[in-house]
Amino acid sequence: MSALRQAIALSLAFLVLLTLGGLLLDDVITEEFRAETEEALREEYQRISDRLTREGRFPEEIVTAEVFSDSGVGYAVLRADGKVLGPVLRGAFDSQGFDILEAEALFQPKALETLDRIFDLIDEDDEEELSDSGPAAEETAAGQLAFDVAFESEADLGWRIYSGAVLDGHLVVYAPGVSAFGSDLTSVILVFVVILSLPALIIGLIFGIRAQRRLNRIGAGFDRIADGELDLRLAPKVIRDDIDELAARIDGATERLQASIRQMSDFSANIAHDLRTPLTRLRLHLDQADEAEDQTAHREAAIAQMDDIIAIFGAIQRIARMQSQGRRDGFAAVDLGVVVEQVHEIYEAVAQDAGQSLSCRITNAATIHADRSLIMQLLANLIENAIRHAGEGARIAIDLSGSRLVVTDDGPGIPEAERGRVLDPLYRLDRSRNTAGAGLGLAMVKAIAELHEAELALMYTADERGLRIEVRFPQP
Amino acid sequence: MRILLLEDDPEIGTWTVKGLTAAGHVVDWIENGREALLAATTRDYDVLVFDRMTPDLDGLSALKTLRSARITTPLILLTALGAVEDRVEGLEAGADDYLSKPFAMTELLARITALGRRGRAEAAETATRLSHRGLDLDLLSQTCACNGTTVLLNPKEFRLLEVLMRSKGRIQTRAMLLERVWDINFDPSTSVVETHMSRLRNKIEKPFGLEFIKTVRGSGYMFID
Repeated sequence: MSALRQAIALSLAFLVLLTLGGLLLDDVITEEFRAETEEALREEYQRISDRLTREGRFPEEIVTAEVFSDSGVGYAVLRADGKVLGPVLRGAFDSQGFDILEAEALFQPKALETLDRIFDLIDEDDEEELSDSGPAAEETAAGQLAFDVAFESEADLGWRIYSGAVLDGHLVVYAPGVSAFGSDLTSVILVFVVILSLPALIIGLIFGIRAQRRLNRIGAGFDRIADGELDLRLAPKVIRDDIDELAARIDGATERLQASIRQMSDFSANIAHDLRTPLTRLRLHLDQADEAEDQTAHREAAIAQMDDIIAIFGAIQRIARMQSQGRRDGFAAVDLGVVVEQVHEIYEAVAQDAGQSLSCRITNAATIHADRSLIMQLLANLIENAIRHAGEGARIAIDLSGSRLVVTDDGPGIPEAERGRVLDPLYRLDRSRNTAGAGLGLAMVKAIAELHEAELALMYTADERGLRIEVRFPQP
Repeated sequence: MRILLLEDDPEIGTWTVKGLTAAGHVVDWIENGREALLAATTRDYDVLVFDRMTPDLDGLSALKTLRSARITTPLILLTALGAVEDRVEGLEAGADDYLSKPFAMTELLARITALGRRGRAEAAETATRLSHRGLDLDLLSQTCACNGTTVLLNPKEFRLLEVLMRSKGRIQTRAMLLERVWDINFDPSTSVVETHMSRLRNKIEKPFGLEFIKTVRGSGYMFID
């Protein structure tokens, strides 16, 4: 059920992030709004106090239209004779500078009633209708402005005021508070989060369950593969996403595993077969040694058979060690040209004695990172393979060009049907079953090439004669 | 020679002791690594023969301890692991020679003899001239003469003859020659040694009707003393 849990966790994380983001946004907007309001209040205060100072006296009356100006700010003054002009309570004149007041503390009850009525009208009608409709609109021509400023705020929420002394009186400038707008946004966000949480959870669950089901299917398939059903494949035909990709990879691994298990079982069968021959001969010699007159001959023959068996085991062990990789400690810079010359020098005479010729050409020999003695063995195995199987009169050639090593012969080659398998350990062509050697030469070459990350290719000439084996070492 | 053998398999141990004793050596056989290390540090031996995998302390670690204590007695490492890397590991740890199991007694004897002599024959190694029964090898000019007549040898033939002459009277096995002359650490499936040996003999023996090199059946070759 981990996919399900993941889906729920993801939806929850999404909602928490949405809430946090909303609150942060709210905070930023509120702060911005507060700053703007204060700026407007200060400007309005300045404008009005300049005008009053210029005129040198307070107006007799403040008309209702002036309760709220265009900037959304209203004002009231306290005259020297203690008379208040405008709808503001006397107490509002006590403060200096910025302050926040509740509507009840700022406005006279009558003015408050008017404001309430305005807000009620706003709740009932649209903005346009309000401006057209009869008595209420006339009665509160100024209220229209109030609405413009405060339309989404509640009248009884905090109002921001700015007050100070002007002439021999007092001036208060006021505007609807910022907290109204802010708290609305918060609740809007919370409502959104609540509304969104359900679909988010449902969508998350749908995706989660689907993914879970697919993973379960892969898991079950994997169990069956582990139990031996190596033919099973898990990926769909079309790869759409990461889960399909994973299934495809498991398929690839299964396929390689299947191939190597097949090879291993062939290998075991071949070991059994190949050891049977020298073991049978060994037994024969030991059996006969008792009765024979010349015991030494049988003993020596037995030892020779034993040496064959030991050689087979030694080679199998070496190949196994190399295939397990990791053993690259003995690697150093190796000049391929030197190795080729050395091996050519050793085998030229051997080939001559077998009635063959061994030639060698070296151009731009590369220096590679390798195990010198393994590279020597690789080349020696290729040449010995050619000497043993190419037949009398064959011409064998070594050609080294850069880091590409090619050994060719013009012997009988390898029949097409058997080409795929000659690199398998212990595989021997049917016709060479009875010649010496354990069939490990080319398998060893393959193992050494793989250890050195070299490409190994067997090629055949058009006329089906001869063999060309190419080893490309990685460029240094 | 006095030999210390570290080998935990009773059958192989018995067989090895028997073979070495028959060849005239005196053998101390110890079955665990710790005791062998103690013996090697407290008594004098000419050659040590250590199996690589032994109880208590394995042969390779015992060897490393010996070498770090600056005990330089020649040592042959015996092992069931024949891979080149194991060989390199053994030689790097300070082994003087390396023999993979199963081995032939003649091979072990030849290697022990070669090692035991080496310490004493250091001076001979630095000689610039090897001469015996009319055969002269000048190591500086890389020339060979038989009864005063110059014989043309290629570098590997020269090296082969040099190795044989330096160990005259002692068997050099095929494997030893492959390592020392051609630097080959694997078992070639063709007759590399035989081919080159017969070419060498055709040059130094046939024309003069002499015999310098003896083939020891099933073991190797020996320069006749």
